[in-house]
Amino acid sequence: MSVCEGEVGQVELQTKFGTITVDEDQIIHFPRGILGFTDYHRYVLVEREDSVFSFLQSVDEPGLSFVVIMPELVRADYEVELSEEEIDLLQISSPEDGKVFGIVTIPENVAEMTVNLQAPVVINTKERLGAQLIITGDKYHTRHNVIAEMHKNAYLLQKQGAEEIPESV
Amino acid sequence: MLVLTRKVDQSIMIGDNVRIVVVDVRGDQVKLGIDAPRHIMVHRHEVYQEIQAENKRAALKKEIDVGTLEQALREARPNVKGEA
Repeated sequence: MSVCEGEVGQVELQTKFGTITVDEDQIIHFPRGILGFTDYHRYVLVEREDSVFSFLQSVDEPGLSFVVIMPELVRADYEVELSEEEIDLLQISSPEDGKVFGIVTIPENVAEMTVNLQAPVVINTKERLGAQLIITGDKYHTRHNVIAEMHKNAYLLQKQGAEEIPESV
Repeated sequence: MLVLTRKVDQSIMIGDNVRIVVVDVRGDQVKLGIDAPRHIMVHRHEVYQEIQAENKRAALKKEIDVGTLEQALREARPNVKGEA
């Protein structure tokens, strides 16, 4: 494990996208872990102002990280309904506490990247708790083509916008 | 594998905290009720396997440059009709 302790309250991580220093209070606890990696419970969300892509980086295994995006980018109407258990697990008291992300899979041909909308990652930013949930039903699946769906989404939003203007006049 | 025979409304315990009840049986379908602590995930096995496999594909294998991803989005932008 190549985690070094820097200043008090800070953790330095050697990640796949460089060395990052995170404040301990930025660490998000995933009580159930991420499916397939359930031994790891601590992550940080590395967001960038200049990109729609963020990283979900494991604190305890620097080699473990995921690219995530906001599902609304590919589906404007994307909604996650939390069960009682999930609300309890994430200690969510109001919808504003929750941030939702979709995990992106990046194949050799980057243009074919897909996002998993069936199993979103929900983070309570206030309590620093996170979980990967599974949405039942067949509306979403594990591989939505990001680029194709983004275009469809942009087109629908544009169309919707065009239809709304006459009504508001 | 341990195999148990149960009737409708009967249940089994797994450890101290997980209880599985046979709610209904119709033909080849069995309806199960599961009581488990909230930190234990309960899912259909196929769904669980699919998500686990997708997460393993998604976990980054090598360095990735966000610029490359952004560029892929920009380059693939089609000309939507009516977009001035």
